[in-house]
Amino acid sequence: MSTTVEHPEHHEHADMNIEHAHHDHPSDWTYIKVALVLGVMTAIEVALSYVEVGEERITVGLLLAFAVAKFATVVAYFMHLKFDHPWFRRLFVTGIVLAVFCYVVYLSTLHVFAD
Amino acid sequence: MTTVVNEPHDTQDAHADHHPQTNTGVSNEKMAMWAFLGSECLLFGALISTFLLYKGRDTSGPTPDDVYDIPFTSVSSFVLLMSSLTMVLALAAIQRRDERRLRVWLLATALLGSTFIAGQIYEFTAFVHEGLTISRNLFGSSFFVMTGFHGVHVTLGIVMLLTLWAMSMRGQLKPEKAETVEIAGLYWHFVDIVWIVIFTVVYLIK
Repeated sequence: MSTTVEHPEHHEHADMNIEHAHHDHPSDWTYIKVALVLGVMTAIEVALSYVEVGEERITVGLLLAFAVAKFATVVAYFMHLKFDHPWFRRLFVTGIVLAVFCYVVYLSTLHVFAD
Repeated sequence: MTTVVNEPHDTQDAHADHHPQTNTGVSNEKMAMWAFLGSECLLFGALISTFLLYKGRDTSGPTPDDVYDIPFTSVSSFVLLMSSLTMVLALAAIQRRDERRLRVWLLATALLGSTFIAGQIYEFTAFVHEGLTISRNLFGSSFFVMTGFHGVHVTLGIVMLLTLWAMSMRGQLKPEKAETVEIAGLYWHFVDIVWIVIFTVVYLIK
């Protein structure tokens, strides 16, 4: 007679989960450093909106780049998407890609970017 | 003969937080929140796109240049950004089983969120005094609807945070329920990232 002890985490799907569940979240000090970086980026953004950096399109490009960087930093570190299960990333990125594609097409059709 | 012995329920519950027993192997609640946030991207995308579509097409004032107070809005944006820090510190605290710090950081996040909303109410009042109402022109309509929707989201987030704080005070939010704080945190960070986009696209880009 043999006895098998069935641990729930030994299931096939759970194996995949264990791989991602034991992610090491950053320390409090890392979160504070990330927040400081976000604060500095915001200050640079505000300064950029006041000073002339060559052509207006350069300023707009820089402001958008800073916004994307801040967005990605919050999502990756504070929302833990960098460390969490890839399924969460896929769900969220699908929403973002769908929204960006849909509204860029919508605004282009109405010649918003042509102005 | 093979006998299968399942682990006792208590042991399974203890592991449930880290190893959800679902078909996908990940928490259903967390998955639902991420799917919801993905759909919210489409909602706010529509509001921001409408603002951009109407931008500069007003036939009467006030225009953005007449009413915006960039230094004031910059401080509000910084306050909301820092509330994301206190929120993630609240989650880190409950994951370390530190319930006292959890309550401190939850309350700090709710206070920072309330400060942001107070700033928004002040800004809306100032705009109305300068003649900009929701029905005044295209800018007024698209601006108030977009930032108003965001403000409602922040307000709902504050209600969630205060509910969690009250539950913790009553001993109903134990470290085993850290995922509840994580899910509320995901919502809170989302309203922050939406504001990051609104602040740049609506206020800073001329």
